[in-house]
Amino acid sequence: MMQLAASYVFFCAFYSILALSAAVLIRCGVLSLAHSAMAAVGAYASISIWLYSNSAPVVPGLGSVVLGFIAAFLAGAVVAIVLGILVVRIEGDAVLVATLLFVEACRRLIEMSDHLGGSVGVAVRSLPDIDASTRSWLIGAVACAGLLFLVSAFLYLCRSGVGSILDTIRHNAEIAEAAGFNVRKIRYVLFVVCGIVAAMAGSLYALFTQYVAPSAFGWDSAILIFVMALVGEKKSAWGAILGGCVLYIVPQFLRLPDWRIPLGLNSLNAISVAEVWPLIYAVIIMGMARAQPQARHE
Amino acid sequence: MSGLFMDNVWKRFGGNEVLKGLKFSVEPSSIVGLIATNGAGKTTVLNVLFGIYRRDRGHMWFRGGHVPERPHKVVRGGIARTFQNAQLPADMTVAEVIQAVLINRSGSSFLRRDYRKRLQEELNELLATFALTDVAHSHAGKLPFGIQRRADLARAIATGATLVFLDEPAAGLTDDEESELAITIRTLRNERGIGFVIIDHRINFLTQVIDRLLVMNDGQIALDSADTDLHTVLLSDILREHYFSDKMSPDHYQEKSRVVVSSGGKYVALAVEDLVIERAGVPAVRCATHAFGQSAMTAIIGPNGAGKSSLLQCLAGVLPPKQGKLFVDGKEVTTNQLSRRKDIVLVSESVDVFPCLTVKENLKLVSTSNGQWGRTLDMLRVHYPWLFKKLPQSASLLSGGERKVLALVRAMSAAPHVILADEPSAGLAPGWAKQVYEMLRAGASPGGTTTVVAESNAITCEPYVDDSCSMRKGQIVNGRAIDHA
Repeated sequence: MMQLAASYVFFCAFYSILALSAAVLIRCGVLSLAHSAMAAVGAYASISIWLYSNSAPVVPGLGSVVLGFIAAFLAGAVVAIVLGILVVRIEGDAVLVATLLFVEACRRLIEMSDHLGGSVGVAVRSLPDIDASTRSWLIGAVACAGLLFLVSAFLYLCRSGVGSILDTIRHNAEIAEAAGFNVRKIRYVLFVVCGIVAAMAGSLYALFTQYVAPSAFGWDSAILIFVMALVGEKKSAWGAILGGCVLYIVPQFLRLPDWRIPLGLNSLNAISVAEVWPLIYAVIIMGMARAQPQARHE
Repeated sequence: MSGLFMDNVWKRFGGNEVLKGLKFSVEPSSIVGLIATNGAGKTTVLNVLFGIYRRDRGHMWFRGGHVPERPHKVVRGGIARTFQNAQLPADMTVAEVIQAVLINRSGSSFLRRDYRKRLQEELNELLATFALTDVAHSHAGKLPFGIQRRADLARAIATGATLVFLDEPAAGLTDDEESELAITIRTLRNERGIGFVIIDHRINFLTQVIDRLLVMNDGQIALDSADTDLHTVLLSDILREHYFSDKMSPDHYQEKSRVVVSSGGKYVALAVEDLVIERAGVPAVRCATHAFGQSAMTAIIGPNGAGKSSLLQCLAGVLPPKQGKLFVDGKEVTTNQLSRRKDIVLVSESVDVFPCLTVKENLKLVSTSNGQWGRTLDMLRVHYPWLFKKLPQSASLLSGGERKVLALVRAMSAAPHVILADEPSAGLAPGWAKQVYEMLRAGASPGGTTTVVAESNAITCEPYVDDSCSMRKGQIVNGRAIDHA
C-alpha cells in the first residue's frame, strides 16, 4: 500500500515535470509534442549505462546511477539541439506534425534495436542494496525535489519579466521580431532546456520502474502530456502541475476493474468502466478545455 | 553618412514590380513624412528595410554600416517601427508589453536586482511620456485603438532606437489626438534626438510635424521637399492627381433625396435603448439611446475610446449588452438572434480579409447566386477598376488600404439589410476615402441598405451622411428617442 502511494507521488511529479516543460514551450508559441520522445531518449540512455555496469560493474551502486543521469543529460541535449534546428524554423501546426512524427520514429527505432529489448522492453535492477519501499519513496522524493526546483526557477523568471517576452512571441512572432526579439534563438534555447529536462525525467522514470518499454513513450502519451500542459492559465506553473496530477490520477481510478455501468435491467449486460474509460477521459478533457480562461467567449 | 540611406532598391512580387529603384536618405534626428496613395509600396519599403521581404537589388546603410538582414538585428541596430492596425496581445497588460522589450534589450543583466530597479524607472518614465500610466495594468488588446497606437509607439521607443518608422500613426485619430501625437513626436525628437519617418495620409497632420516631405509614386520617390520647398511639393501636380483625386466632387450627392427619419418605428431599421456595454468589466457604453433611419446613412462621431466600436459590435451581435434593449425593424431582438442574422454585416476597423484566398475567392464567400456575383462585378467595374484587375491575385499581395477596400466591397456586395462600418476611411488616402463613401452612399439609397458608420474624423464623412450623432465617454450626446407607439 505504501509502495502504491509512493508510485502515485512519483508519477504525479514525473508528469508534472513533463507538462511544465511542455507548457513553457507552448507559452512561447512552440506546440511541441516531442516531450514523451525526449523522456524515452533519457530513459534509454540511462538504461544502457545501467545494463553495462550491471554486467561489468565498473563503478558501484550509486555511482552508476549518477553516470546514468549524466548520460540522460547528454543524450537529451544532443537530440534536442539537432531536433531544435528544425523545430524553430517551422511555425504553428507544422511543429505539432513534425514532433509527432519524431515521437513515432523514436518508438519504431527502439522497437527495432535488439540490445535495447525491442518492443518487449528491457528490465534493469537499480539501487540493489535497499528495500523496494524505501527505494520508491527515495526516487519519488528526488522527482518532487526536481519539480520544486523547476517551479521555483519558472516563478523567478516570470517575476523578473521573462514571461512577458514569451507572451509577446506567442502573440505574433513577426511583430515580436520587429520589436527586437530574436525569436528563433529564444525558442531554440527553451527547446533545448525543456528537452534536457524531459530527458532527465525519463531517466528518473527508468530508475523508478526498473523496466522500460517503447509503448510507454508513444503518440498517446505525447498527446497526454500536451493536454496536461494546456490545463489552467498559461501564465502560471500551477496549471501544468494540476493537469499532470489530475490527468494521471483520474484514469488510474477509472481503470479499476470492479466499477461497472449497468446497461438495462440484466446485470450481465453491464460493461466495465475500464472498457469505456477513454470515452469518459475524453469528456473530462473537453470539460477542462472548456473551463480554460482563454476558451471562454468574452 | 550617419543616417539611413537607401540606394536603388528593387522589389518584385510575382509579375508586379512594387519598388523600382527606390532611393532616399534620412538624416539623424529629422522628421520625414512619406506620402503616397494606397498600394504605392509604402509598407513594402518598411518590410524590405526590416528584412521581412528580401530585396531583389539595392543597398541600404544605417549609421555607416549595412542594414542587417533579420528584423531583430535591424532593431538592435537602432531602427524601430510601429504597425498599421497595431493589435496588441489581449492577455498582456500595457506595462508587460513595454517591459518585455526593455528586458529583451538589456540581455541577461536584468537578473541583477539594481538593474531591475532601473528598468522599472525607465518603464514608468515611458508610461508617463505616452500618458499610459492610468491604463498600465489594463489588458492591452482590449483597449480602444487610439490607446493601443500609443502603446505601440511606446514599445518602439523602448527598443532604444534612434530612428522610428511610424506606419499610419494618425489613421482614425481625432484632430485633438492628432495634435497631441504631433507634440509627442516633436518632444521625443527634441529631447532624445530620435528621428522619425512618418507614413501617413493625413497631410494636415504631417505638416504639423515634419521637416521634410517625400512623395512616393510608382515605386520611386517622385518628389522630395529637400530639393524644392514644402509649399511647392504640396501644390505639385503629382500630389493633386494621384493623391487627392480632385475630379470627384461631393457636391454631386448633395442633391440626392434624403430619407425621412422618423422615430415612429416605421422608418427606423435599427434602434438601441438605454444600452450599457461592458468590456472586461469596464463600462464602454454607459447609456445609449438612438434610432437609426432605414435606408439612411448615419454617422456616429466621437473620439477614440468613446464606445463607438463597442456599440457597433453590440448591434452586430458580437458583444452582448449588459443592460438595455436592441430593436431591428421595430421588434426587440436578443444578441443571439442578431449574431445569427447574415444580413447585418459588421466591417471592423482591423482589416479582415483572408490572405490565403484570392481576391475573387474572398468576394465569392458572400455571394450566393450568379445574379449577385454579376452585381458584385458591376460594382467593381464602376467603383474599383483596379480591384477588378486584381481578382485572380492572392489577397496577401494587397496593401493595407487595398485590403480595407476589399473588406468593404465584400460586405456591400451581399446587399445587406444593415451594414455597420467601423472607421471605413481610416488608413485610406483622401481620394480613396471619398470613393469608399461614394460606394456606401450608393448602397444607402431608398429601399437599400441601412448604413451606420463610426468615424473619429467628422470631416471625411460629413458630405455623405443623412444623419449623425456624436458619442462622448460612452454616451450618445444627441440621440433620437424611440417612439414606442
